[in-house]
Amino acid sequence: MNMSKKKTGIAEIYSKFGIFIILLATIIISAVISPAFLSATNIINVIRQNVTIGIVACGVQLVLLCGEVDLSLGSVAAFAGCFAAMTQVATGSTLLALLTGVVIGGIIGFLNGLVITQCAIPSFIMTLASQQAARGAILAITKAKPISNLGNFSKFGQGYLGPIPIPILIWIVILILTGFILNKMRFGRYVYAVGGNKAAAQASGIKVKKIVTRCFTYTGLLSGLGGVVLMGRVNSGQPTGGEQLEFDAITAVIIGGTSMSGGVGNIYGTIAGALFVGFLINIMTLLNVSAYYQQIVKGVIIALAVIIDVKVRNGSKK
Amino acid sequence: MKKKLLTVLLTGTMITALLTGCSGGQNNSSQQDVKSGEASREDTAGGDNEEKTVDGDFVYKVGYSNLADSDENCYLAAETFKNIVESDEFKEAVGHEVSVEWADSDGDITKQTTNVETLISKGIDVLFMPGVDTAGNASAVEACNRAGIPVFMIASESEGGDYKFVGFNEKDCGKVQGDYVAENAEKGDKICYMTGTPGREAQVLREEGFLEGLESRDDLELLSTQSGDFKAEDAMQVTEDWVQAYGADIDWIVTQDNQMGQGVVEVLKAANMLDKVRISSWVVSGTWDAEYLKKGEIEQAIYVSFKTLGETAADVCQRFYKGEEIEEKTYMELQSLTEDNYADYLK
Repeated sequence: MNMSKKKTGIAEIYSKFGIFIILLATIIISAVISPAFLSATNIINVIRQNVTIGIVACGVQLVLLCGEVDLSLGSVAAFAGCFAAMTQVATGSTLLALLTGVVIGGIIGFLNGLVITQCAIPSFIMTLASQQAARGAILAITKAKPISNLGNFSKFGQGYLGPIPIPILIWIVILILTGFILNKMRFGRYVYAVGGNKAAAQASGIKVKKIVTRCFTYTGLLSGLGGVVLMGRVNSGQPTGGEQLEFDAITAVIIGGTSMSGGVGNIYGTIAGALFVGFLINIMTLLNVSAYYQQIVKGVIIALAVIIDVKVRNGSKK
Repeated sequence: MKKKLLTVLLTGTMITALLTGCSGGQNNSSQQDVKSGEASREDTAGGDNEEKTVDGDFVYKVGYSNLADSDENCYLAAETFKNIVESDEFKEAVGHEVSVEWADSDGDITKQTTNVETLISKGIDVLFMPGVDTAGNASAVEACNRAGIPVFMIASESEGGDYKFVGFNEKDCGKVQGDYVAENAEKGDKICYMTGTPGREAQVLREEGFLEGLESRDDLELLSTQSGDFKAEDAMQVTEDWVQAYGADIDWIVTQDNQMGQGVVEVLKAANMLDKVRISSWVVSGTWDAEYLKKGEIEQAIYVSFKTLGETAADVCQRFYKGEEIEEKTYMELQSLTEDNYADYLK
């Protein structure tokens, strides 16, 4: 009995602080084994490489906190990003291109949320359907060809404001915004309440459907923004871009301590989760570890994170 | 009473369904057997010389099992093939209208195998297939063989079954790049090699060919081999990491396709290393990817025109319907492009 409590306690401590300790340990070990790792350029590179995942992760965190899931992120990012690229080519206006991408992402997210809540369809199924539809649509529209000659559009992914890359600045803004929503706004508290216990939230007067729809809309908006940053980074509208993005983003959020069943998690964990996966892949590439082994490591980490999540939840139920 | 009525109704429905099913089957087989009339073709892949002809109203059906519609290059080849085969000129040449049954495999071997089974049941005359996987495609090819449907593998082979090949040699593509680096590298140059999706046939064979090409130079050093997953975004991440790990030591970056070449150029441009690092990549679309070669950002590229691949496959298809003898392997030409000769091949 005591042993069980102790084990649960360790898992609980991990869920609160573990990712930060592991992130720190990863950075220290990596710095020791590869001199190139701790340079400012490399650190900025890793952050920049993971900005798209980080931005989208902020959105999907809200959905996961509600106890739902969104598998359409990558396809929505490609759809919205390519439309933004097409707008850039057609109008030459970078601002209009950005708005197009974000708004299109938001509309798809809103539709996802609306159908899920009004038709009582599991979010897994609905977002899987919109994942397929969005990917198919953008491939059909572009005929699978990249959109090039984007001019200033590349600044979203490659530009600098002083010494800081613009995509990193965008991520910082999104992190602050998401942190504010979750910690300071009533809407944020409702998100936790809905994820913790939907029935209780409903009984206490929270409009659950409205909250869930808003969460999907926010995820859609950030997927659109992530798509713009991604296409800016590769300096072209890539209809196949963002594949597996949803899994990378969900991995970051879960490793960061957000529960798959909702109600538990914070933005700091998500930041650490995204950076941890990024640093891990980075050090393996620096050490020339084969891509096959990199996939194994990524898989093991996801499994461990979910096992710990389940353990914590089971522990808290007892 | 209700039970009896229900039983009678159910039995009646089942018998009707059975009869309809049988009669449908007869229709299908008779449709395939009817092939009598003007045009004739030879069953090339199975070595079966049976004459098969069609009547005036019959529409030829060509199956095209695409590797992945999401792949710009595969899509271009498939689209080119379909446009030519369904054109009026093609109809005139073979004497009948031809329709292309196009199925997307989405890079998934299981999906491709299922698609081929569906195409067989649709009554196709011949199958053209850019295969997802050499070993995995054997079952689809063998299924076609059993149904008496000739198979032409496009730009990929199959480990089993009878088929003929149309395309380019993956290993040769890698070897041309390896040969170029071996011939043009300075003494002791260091190379980073970027492969495509791990485990894909194209990745394995191109790498084999590349390493074979390098064998003539003992002094060259392969610093790192990493996967860019045939994507520009992944290629950028790998290149940034290479720049960190090896910096000025890198003399060459060689990529297994054009998308990854684009990613490499973008990173080297941002790191002000384009003048220092020599790039060997691919030109496939001949449009956006050719720009890098024209600007001198990429030093050398293999030119594999997937439009030409689609045209070559369509030509083979026409010869098939005309009943002409088709070689075991029909290769399209590979070009090694540099700043000096690209104008001869790219407009």
